Amino acid sequence: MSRVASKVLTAVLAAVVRTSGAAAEEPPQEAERRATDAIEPSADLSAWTSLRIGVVDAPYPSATLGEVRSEAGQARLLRFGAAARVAPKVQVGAHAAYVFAGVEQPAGSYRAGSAWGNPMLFAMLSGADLSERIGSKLDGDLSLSIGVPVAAERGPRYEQLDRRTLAIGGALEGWVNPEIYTPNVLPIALGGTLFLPRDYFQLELGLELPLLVRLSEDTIPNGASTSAIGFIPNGELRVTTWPWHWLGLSLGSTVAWPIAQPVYLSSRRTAAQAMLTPRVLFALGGEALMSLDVAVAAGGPASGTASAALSARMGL
Amino acid sequence: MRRMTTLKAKKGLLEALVLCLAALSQACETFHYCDPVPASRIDAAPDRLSDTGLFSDMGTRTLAPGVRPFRPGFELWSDGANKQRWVYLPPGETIDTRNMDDWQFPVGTKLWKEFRHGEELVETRLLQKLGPGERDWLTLSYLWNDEQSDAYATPEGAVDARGTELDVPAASECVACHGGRRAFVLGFSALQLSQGASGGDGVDLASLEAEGLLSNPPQQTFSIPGTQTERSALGYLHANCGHCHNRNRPSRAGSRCFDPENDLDFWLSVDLLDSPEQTPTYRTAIDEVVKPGEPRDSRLLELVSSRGIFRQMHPLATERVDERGVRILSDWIRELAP
Repeated sequence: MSRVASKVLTAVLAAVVRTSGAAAEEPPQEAERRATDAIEPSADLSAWTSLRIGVVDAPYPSATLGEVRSEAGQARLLRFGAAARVAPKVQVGAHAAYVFAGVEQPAGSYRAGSAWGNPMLFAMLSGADLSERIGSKLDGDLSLSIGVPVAAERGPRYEQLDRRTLAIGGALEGWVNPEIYTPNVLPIALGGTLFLPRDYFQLELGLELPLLVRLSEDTIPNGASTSAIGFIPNGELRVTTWPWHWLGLSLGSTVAWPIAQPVYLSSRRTAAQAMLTPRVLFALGGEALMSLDVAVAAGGPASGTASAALSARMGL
Repeated sequence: MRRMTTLKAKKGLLEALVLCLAALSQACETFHYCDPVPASRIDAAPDRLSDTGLFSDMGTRTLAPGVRPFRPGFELWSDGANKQRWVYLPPGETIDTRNMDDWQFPVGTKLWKEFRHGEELVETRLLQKLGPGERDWLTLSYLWNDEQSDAYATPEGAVDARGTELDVPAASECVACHGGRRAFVLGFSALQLSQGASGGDGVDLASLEAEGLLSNPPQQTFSIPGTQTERSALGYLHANCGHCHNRNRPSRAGSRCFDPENDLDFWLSVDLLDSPEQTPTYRTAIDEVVKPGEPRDSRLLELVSSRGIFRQMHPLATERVDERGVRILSDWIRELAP
């Protein structure tokens, strides 16, 4: 499951529950128990969606194009997903992404591109309480995702419009979801997150290991080469606090390290990409959460990429 | 009651997201977007420049029979690239010149424009008339190889081609400029070939007329009116702005693709050359984007002097200011009577 867009939200949603008015009415011991539930939202069914808008300036694996750009406000990413609890600590679900972007052409005009990312099916084991083992309150979860290889270049090979559109979607999120935006691969991702709740804030550390099994060499860009399996580990460190029961503040950073790209230029270095992701959260009752976040590339190959997203998550 | 409130909140959230989406989709239809070229045209085009009929011998750069050089009187700024141009007209055919501002070319016409960065060959662009319709043109760039022995079709274009600062336009981008006139061809026109720029062995209006290649010979060449300063400015604006900013654009079927949709007109029509004041530039730009006597307060000069996304003129395939062009326009605006 995609950490940035869903697990974090899941965790923060539960953090809302912990600090919401309902929790405040309960005895302290019960409220602390809710902190453990931070990775385990109460609703048996939940759904989420987000709309991200931004500007992208990122490398692209083609000898002639070299980079992919989208103007301010015209790089857009719609994400949505749903999860169902099938056992007390097990959720299964699916999520999908649709990118629609103005893709800059070499001379400065734009093409309107739109493309589906790979829909992901996931299972998540949550609520593994590790507190007794380390002597401090610590929770964690594990997730396994597999993608439906939908993302592909559907237009003429020379245009690379779908591929470039997907690359824009991936860069918007700082390359932390390569399993979604990489075309012509079967994506399999193993993820894990640790939560460290404290009195006034919660620390969160996530790691994802996506394997991208290349399915075909169709429509690869001119001048690019391939590897059979792509491997782009990525992680996130985040701290969240709730000064009021309805308002949360969160600061995070993601790092993606493209150790092996399924399609790449042999001359291109595999540099890591870091993003800063401050976020404001609004709790709407105990069953809905809205957030506004900003993601800014902290230098790196995609320097100049920045976006803002409006997200909502609801228990059903 | 609480359940109702929660439901309303959820509904509101969803509506807000849908509205955002709709607004953004609307915003997508902008001035800078162009439609794709039919893939069948690209697929049918030669992969190599050597197969397009430009040279009979690539090694010695010997022009193929019927291919002739020409040079327009006023050139589009291309970041200082050195440009050469050639035309091929199919034997026995004439150019339909009933509309002297928008010639219609016979099927089989080819025009090439070669771009060099210093002495290095970077790209050669091809325009080829494929059918009888006004828009039946192949637009394709060929990127030269490292050995400088041939160039290869690059329909996707290229950024910083061959390590230079020149960008090769994608095939779909050509229409951004060429689509602004019914003729589609911009630099090979009655006005541009009347300026004596082609040289001794090049094609000009007089040679076309003498060879009987014009359906309706104009019986004259066309001079731009005014002082040297005015002629330079009017010619510069014609070549760099007029293909988009003119009132005789063909009707649009798809994206706006650099259709400015305003009243500015910098095109020099051969019927309106009696005086500078008669030209569309004087009638539409003065007191709008040109403040007589005040170059620094003229929006036109601000845009020509700027580079940056959405804030430059002309808007495509240039990242450097044309200092000579800025001087020409500054001198002209300064000399205009306030």
